[in-house]
Amino acid sequence: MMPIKAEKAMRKGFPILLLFLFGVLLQSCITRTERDLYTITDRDTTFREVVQNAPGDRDNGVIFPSSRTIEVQRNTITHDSTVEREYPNFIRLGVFEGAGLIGTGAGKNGIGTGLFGVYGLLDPDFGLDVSDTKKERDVLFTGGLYRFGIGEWRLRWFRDAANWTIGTSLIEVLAPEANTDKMLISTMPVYVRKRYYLREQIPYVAFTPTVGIGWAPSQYINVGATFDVGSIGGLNMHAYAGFAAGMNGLIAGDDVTTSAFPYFGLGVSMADFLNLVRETETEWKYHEHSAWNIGITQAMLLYSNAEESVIKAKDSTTNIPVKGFVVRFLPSSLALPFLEHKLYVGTALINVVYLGDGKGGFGILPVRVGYWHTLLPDELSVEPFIEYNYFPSSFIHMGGRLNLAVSKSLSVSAAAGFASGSTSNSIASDITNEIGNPTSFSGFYLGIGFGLSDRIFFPEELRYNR
Amino acid sequence: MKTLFLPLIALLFTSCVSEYFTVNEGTSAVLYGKIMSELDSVEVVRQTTLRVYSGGVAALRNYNTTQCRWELLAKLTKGTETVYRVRTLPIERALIPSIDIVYSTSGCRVEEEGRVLVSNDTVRAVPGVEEKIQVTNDGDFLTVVIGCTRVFHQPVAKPSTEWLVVESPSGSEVVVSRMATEETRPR
Repeated sequence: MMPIKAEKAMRKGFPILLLFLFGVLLQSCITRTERDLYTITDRDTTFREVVQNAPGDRDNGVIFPSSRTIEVQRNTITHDSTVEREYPNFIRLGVFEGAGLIGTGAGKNGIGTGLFGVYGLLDPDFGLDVSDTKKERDVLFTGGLYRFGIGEWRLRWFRDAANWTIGTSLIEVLAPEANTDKMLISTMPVYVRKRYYLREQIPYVAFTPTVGIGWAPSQYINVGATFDVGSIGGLNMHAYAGFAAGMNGLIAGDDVTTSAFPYFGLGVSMADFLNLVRETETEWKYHEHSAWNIGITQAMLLYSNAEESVIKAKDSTTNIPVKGFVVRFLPSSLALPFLEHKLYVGTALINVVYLGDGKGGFGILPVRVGYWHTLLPDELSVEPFIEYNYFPSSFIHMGGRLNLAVSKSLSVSAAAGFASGSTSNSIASDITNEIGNPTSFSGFYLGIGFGLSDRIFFPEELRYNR
Repeated sequence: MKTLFLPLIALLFTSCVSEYFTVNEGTSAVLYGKIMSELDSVEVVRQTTLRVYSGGVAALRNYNTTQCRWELLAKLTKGTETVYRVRTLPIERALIPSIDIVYSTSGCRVEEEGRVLVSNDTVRAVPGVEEKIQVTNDGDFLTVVIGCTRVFHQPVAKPSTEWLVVESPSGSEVVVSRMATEETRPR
């Protein structure tokens, strides 16, 4: 019998082991490594001529043996060389996909997910169930579809028919209305898709019939089709039509609820990359890139001219140099075909700029235009930019950022900038009233920060320069 | 729920690896293979025989060994020719263009990037008849023996690799059996 301590240790270690195995499995599903052995043969022949003439006169006219000797040495050297090549092993890999759905139920029972399922996320009434209250509500985007950690791999069936995939996501949420009993959620749902490409150049355009099943905690089937544009720099847009039906067997316990609804919608997915089959046979290092920068998170601490720091404790008199912060979640900066492709247009799923306490705002899918200039190849770049955040806050953010690519997934940066606008605007004042003070703000800042899973590309990596 | 979950996950991940196969499994002469064309264009029969249909490409790998003699029996069952590619990789052929041994009903030839190194029109494939093919990598020397005839024995500049690629051009079909390898330089 196992000692209790050892059993406890094993129980603690088991999730770590599982996580490790999952990591290894995920890595093998992202990158395929081909390792090949070569044998190179070199042949070399050395001729060595030696003449040792004896000193003194020679008797001419007498046959005299020459002292010249020729030594021929042949060498054959074979040496092995191992070459590793890495290829993408997936058709699609994404971080986030969101869609605002219509037609899933009555407007008064809707969630209010907003366009693309993201503009409503910061709304305090997001998902508010008013069915048991007298509160009036009527939203257009009644439902939402969200996927996190999406993966698709080539499915070779029907005599190797083209562009079939089998995929999953870490979590999928299909929510037809604010009533959570109707929500269908699954971890690792299994989806089969067939893409009909209308355009096989970046950005791809495809019509994609889809069928999927979720198994836990809800059990459901989701049949539909999407019209997809992308990916370019990890950005994609989707139009959806489908029907989902299932039940909440594991959530509800004895009180099982069922849910069935048609849906139509518009969605966006970010840090979401799509490969054609031919691209899975192209080494990572030769892959085409359309963006100067793609990342998961960029964060920056700011020193600004704001009076109070956002992290200052109330009633404290200590003067903290860190006044505010900038956080960008899922940023992407696409190269434009002007000024040697150095001009870029970018966005992020969520952008937060706070210069100080009460002085800042939020932006969902802000529009950013900048100029990307490489100072040191493979390392240092600078980007002056101007960014317009129109929802839910309304402000202009401009500045210059110096980026140092530490590795392919980590960057550090320094910035100086200016932001001016209003925490709230007339469109979404109810949202920003809840988030913070609906004030105008304006100020300068200096900042240093880092980017996690943040890839900075250099001119030779852009597809336009190949 | 587990009974539903496990087959689904298995289905998910087996879809990633279905082009791989092994021959001579369980023996000391095991060879690893990869189907480089449509999956249905190559059939592995009882792990000892390959049937390469029209347009099919099967790559065989003698893992970790480049200096060896490949030996196999080839039977052309349909069409006119089969191509055996050596000193190459199954993918990224642009990195190392292969040396091609074309064995056809009108003779055989050895080509390097489209340039004919040797041609022999007396050694011909006879449809339906098995013939032994030997390909030896020994340093920079490449030796090709078909039946009892040594059709090629010359140094070539390309490095040796672990792969032998069998290709059936459109309209042809070949059965490859008794695949075996022997190291030319014992370690």
